[in-house]
Amino acid sequence: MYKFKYHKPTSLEESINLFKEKEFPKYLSGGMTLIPSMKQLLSSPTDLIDIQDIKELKGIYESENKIIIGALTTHNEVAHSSIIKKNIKGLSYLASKIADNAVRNSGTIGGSICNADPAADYPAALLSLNATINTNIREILAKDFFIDMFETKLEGSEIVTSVTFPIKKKSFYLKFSSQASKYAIVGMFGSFDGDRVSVSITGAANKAFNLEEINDQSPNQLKVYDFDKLEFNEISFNSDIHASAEYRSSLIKNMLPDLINNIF
Amino acid sequence: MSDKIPIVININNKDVTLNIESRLLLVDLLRNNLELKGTHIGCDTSQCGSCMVMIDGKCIKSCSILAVQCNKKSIKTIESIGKENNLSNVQKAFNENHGLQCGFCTPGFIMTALECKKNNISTEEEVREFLDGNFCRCTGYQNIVKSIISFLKMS
Repeated sequence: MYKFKYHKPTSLEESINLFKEKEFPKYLSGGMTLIPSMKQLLSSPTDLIDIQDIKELKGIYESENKIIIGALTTHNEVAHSSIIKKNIKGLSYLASKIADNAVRNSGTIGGSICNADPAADYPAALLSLNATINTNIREILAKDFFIDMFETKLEGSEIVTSVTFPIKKKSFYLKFSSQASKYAIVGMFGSFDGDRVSVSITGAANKAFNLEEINDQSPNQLKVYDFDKLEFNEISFNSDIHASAEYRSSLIKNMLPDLINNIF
Repeated sequence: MSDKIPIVININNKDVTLNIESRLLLVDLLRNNLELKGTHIGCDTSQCGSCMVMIDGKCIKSCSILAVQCNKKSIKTIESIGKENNLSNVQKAFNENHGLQCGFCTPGFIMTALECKKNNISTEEEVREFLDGNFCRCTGYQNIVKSIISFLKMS
């Protein structure tokens, strides 16, 4: 590994000030993507600011029909949380399917969404559930947060503090994953707010997207919907060693009936 | 000015004080600085789980974490699990069920098996899913799964 400087601030303010001072700093949370990327020189920050001890970024809370999850909450904490299981079952299920147990013990929801991997699981849930990403300076809707592959709305020293999810009792996550990495080749999160079904897809394109074509369908219509007729206008599917663009669009059509059945 | 950072880590129930470079990975600290060679380096890219250790009671791949991140934490490696003439239950289960061939991946599987037990995992399907993240290139996993199920049934 190349040389870099390591910092362990104890407050949010100290973390942000450190970030502003350094040449090419990066915040370090679980490190499950960042450390392996640094080992391969895919990322080479001059300074790592380890935020694992910042208390303001921890905890899972329920408040006024919303669940607030601190940025440092690990995937296993989301998977095992009774508050999340009770209120947004699909989200805890999604977390239980991320990578492997060792990664889930360390990787965090904040780290995952800031990294904005196009094949990461959380973005599908954030879009479908209409989540809000809270930072030290503002609130950003999930649909505005993810800009492109590994690119988010975050600027400079801005730091994600938590994610707010509206409670939706009916939700599910379905994933067709790479057997080696468990990253999604296609992952789909569906949720029902009592009125509408919202389905978001990850892994298939440059970033997660909402399947707007079926947004106006009722649950009963979706149960008998002919998904083969989906056109995916304006979606440019990824084509890589895991799957061709055609294969990905075909996967989506074939997985949707299963997703819908599992939501209800 | 030295670039080294002072840390205190509890390794296998013993506090160790060290001065280390920030870029030192935990697995290299264990193997090279502390001569704990039971934790293996397989892929070195977070895939294979041969370097699995427990940090504060949870499995982590030690090739994917900096040693400085473990300051003030408690680490358990395979060396703390049992001794040659006094094997722990999980090691006995692997021994009795032929749960290893070359043995290179075994320390990692043993650590994962211990966390299986903590998480109250019981069925074969659950065990197989929990083993995502540990690779074995010899056994085809059959006897590893058998060993772990046998261990989970022990009181």
